[in-house]
Amino acid sequence: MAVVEIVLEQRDGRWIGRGEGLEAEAPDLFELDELLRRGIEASGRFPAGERVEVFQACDRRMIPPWMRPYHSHYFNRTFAFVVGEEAT
Amino acid sequence: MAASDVNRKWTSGMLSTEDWWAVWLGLLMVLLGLASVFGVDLVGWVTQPRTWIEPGKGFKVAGRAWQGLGPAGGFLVTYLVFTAVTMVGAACMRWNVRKYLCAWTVLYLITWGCWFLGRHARIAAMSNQYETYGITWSLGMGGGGAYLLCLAVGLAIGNLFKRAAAFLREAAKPEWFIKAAIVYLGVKLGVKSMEAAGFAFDIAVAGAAATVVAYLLFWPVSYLICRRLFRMTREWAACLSSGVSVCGVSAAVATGGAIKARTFVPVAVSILVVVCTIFVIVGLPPIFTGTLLDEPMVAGSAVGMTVKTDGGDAATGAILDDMMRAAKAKETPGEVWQEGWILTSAIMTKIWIDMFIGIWAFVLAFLWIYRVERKPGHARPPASEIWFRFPKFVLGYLFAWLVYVLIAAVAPGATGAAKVGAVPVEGAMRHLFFMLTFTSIGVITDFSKLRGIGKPALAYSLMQFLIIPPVALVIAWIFHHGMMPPVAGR
Repeated sequence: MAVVEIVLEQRDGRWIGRGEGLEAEAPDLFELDELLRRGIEASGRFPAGERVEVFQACDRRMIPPWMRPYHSHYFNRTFAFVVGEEAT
Repeated sequence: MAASDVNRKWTSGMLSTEDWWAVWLGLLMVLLGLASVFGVDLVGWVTQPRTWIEPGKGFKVAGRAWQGLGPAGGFLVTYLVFTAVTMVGAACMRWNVRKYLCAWTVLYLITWGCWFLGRHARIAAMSNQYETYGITWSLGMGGGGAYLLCLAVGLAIGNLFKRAAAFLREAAKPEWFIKAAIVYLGVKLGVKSMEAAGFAFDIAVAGAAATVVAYLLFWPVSYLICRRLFRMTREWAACLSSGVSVCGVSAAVATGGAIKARTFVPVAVSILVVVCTIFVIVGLPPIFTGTLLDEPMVAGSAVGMTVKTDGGDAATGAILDDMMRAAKAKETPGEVWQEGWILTSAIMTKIWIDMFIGIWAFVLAFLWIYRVERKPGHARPPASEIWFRFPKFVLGYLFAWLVYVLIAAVAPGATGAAKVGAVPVEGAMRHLFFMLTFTSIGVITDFSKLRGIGKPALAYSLMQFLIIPPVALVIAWIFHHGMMPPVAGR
């Protein structure tokens, strides 16, 4: 299984995913996932049928500096798909 | 991926977060303190104010081997050591070191000034000390007077002198200071465990049990109130419920992350947490002292469940510890409880709450995916989330505690020597960082930030002041009633 690592940011209420030559922006995470999936498939880096895990990590700078001492982790998440298969 | 800005590996943040730097700052002194087992006192230089009536006798160098420094030398060495160590931390955390140094120095001097004044015998002496100081009356506040003075001066700066506050915020880091102090408190618990291991263990178990009950009760009740009474969205209700019922800012951020909330929601909740904490710090100790003198450990645990930031909890616990011990000494002359047990009860309960937040946020993330978003199987939180949300300073606290328990178990003959290095760490150093926390909490608390957060502020206040404290008290009573701190000198 291949792993693609993406850094998440939030600007003006929109999610931005960036990393490994990809960049996508969407109003919610599910739409962002779909854009990233399409971007990864279009890049041609992975053959059809390969399972790809997209690891998303929030940039700590999303949390205002004065709040980071209390908690400096927003969230990480992963989603996986098989190249060439329709998303469920 | 910029490794320093995301949590990817289990080591992420070890050199760049305050939580980890509390561990390093704490463990450095704990390890130096342990050198006394081999006959070397490396921490006895630390100097602190003590109760005084003549100003010249108001400073005390902690270690017998370091008395040659004198009060002024001890003060200077203490300042230089902690300035150097915290500056290394500031540099690693990529703060502006020059600004940090300037702000730290002013903050340190303000804190020391308040600490010194607050230890005047008319403020601090307990009834059994009147003869020592040649006085006939005192406010009998113990260390509580100095804490409140630091807090009051900090609040005055934070709200009346905004430019000075902005300057001091470069070094006013209450979470860093209190977490380091809690690591030092681990030493105190370790030393106490040498004498009363069973009691320390009972507090830990009772704190864990109370925490589980509190989680199961506080969160659903708060969520229901937010949803039904205040008609909040799920996003607001979840973040606010976690903030007010679990562990404040960290819970609000963790929950925001778990449910993928827009970031301004946990930010607004965090403002409420920080500002409202002040009222609890000032209000709870006199109320509990007046009503719960027969159940001091219940009062401590209730503080742990009610106060939402680590700094606030430790601050409230410290004031409560001093106030209750002073009140008890006044009520029953000659019977003074050992210092720190009530505070330990408050901190132990809070630490359990802090540790559970990672698991709670993880569970909540799944609940949200399956029950609210109803998109099972699409995306999932990795199990490493639990580690990234784990409060790392707890590791330092546990190490400091258990290393002394181990010494008592493995080498009982070395306990006397171990105490030589433990006392300056759990005493003067812990007090110093508590005092710095009080001043810093005041400096960073800006009441004007409450403007524009109407409905959430009302909901938060209702729960923080009227619902959580009585319920916390009942839970604390169930698990802690009948537990009494050992009496000093026995």
